[in-house]
Amino acid sequence: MIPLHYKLYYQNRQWLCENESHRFVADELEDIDQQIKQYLVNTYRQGTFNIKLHFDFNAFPLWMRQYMPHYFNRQIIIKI
Amino acid sequence: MNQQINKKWHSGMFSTEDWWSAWLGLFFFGLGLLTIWGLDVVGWIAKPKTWEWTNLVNDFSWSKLLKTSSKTYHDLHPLLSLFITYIVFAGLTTLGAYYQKLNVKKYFTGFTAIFVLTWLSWIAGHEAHLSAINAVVKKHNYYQEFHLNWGLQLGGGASYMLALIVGLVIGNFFKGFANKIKEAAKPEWFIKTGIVLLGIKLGMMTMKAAGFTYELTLAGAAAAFVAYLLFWPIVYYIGRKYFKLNRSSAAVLSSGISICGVSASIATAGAIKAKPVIPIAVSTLILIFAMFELVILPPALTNLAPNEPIVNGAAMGMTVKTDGADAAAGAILDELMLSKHLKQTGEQWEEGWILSAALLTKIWIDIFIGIWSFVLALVWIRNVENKTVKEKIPKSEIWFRLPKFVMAYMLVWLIYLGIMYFFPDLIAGAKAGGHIVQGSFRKLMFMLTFLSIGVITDFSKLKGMGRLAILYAIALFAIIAPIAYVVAYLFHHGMLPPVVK
Repeated sequence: MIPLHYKLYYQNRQWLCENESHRFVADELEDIDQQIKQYLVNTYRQGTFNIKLHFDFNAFPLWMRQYMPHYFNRQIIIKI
Repeated sequence: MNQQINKKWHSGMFSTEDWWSAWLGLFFFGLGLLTIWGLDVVGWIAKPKTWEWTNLVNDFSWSKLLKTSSKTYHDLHPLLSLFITYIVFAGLTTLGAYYQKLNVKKYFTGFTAIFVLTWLSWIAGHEAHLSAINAVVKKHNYYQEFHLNWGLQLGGGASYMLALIVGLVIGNFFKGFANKIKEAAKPEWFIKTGIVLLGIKLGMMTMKAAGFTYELTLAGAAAAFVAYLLFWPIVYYIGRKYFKLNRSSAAVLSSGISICGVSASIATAGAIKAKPVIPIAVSTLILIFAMFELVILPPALTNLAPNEPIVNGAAMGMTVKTDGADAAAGAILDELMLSKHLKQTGEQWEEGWILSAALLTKIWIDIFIGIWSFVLALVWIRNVENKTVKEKIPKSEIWFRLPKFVMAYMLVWLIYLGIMYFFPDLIAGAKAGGHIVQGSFRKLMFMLTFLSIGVITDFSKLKGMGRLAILYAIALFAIIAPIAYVVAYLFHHGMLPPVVK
């Protein structure tokens, strides 16, 4: 399984997912998944990918961070 | 901008308020334990004294207003004691602010203003006409000693309420000033540190009445569990059926109202991967309603059920949202009920048991949040979300959502239990420092919370909340509060705090 790591955040009513080389933007998380899948299909042709999306808590206003320091981390498996 | 990502188990250890409340609480706790070896390094902290204004005006002296917390530092001038207190608390919390990547300059100036206002409120609240009770407390009857003709007889509750009022006035009428000091208005950080220190109180309570303390802890766990299983589905159903909320909003609001306010709404929203705008809107609502709960419930319960102190405390823990507001409400309830009981019967209940009852239910709920969010995430993936890819829920999510200050609170309690069972010879030494840390240190953290929580509460934010606000009000006062009281009654009925002899 090939591991991939991305930072996930939310800005201007959109989800943004990026690492050093790629950036995906969409209104819904499902669309981000599809964009990643398409990218993997185009780039790798085949393989199983363990993709970890780490949410950047800076998307929350400063005053809220004292109540809970974590939103979510997402792990998706894509097989092509 | 710096990232705030939780990747590894130790992520956030030095950059979040939650971890910092654990570090700060454990540091103070550790300092207190040094009295075991005869080393008093905590007694310098200032504490307010009961004073009367005509007596003070006729013959002014700082020593009538303030004193050090132990006899070791008896010779220290009260103002120097207060200055050392300021240096230590400003220094340590500013260090925390630095690691949390807050604006250090803003934090330091803000904290200084909050510290000054807190102490002014604390000292003012100890004026005898506000606080003195017409009964003997710790060998003194200040009401008689100061020859009072009248008095509100609020005990320590007067200072708490005064700090809250000062904070609310600043937050709602001096918004420019509130914005300037907001960087340091961190009620959750302050209260969580205070709660860690309250672990010492729980330890001392266990030393005194082990059976009762265990019973209180287990009853709190059971009550919180039962109440939560009732609250969440009812609020979710009403939100969906009558207020036509979408699934995400209904779920986040249900957790916010039912469990533990802001932290639960963020955890739930994260679990179901809601857009962050939903928990942000819900959290604003929670904070404002928490203030209503904090102001209304303690005096209401004190007068409606004066003979059910522990039931009232536990009900408070399940009703008032956010740790800060709950601990604040519990502390006011503790003071009001003790004062009322003392005034009416001459019998003095021991301080801290009602507050602990309020906190224990809340702490179990805090622990429950991480597990509930994990379960909800699984339910959401299986039954609600569109499945276009295979998704796993990392088990580390439970760890990241587990409140670390609760671990520190439990650790402090366990260390006291260890001393009690394995090193009974050390009990007296441990108690000497522990008494100061859970007293003066903890109360200062509580006072800072009261003022800060007022500063960040802006009632004008209720505008435009529409049906969410209506649902919140109905759910809180018609469903949560009554059910919480019934559940608290079932599990805590008949429990009374020990009497001071």
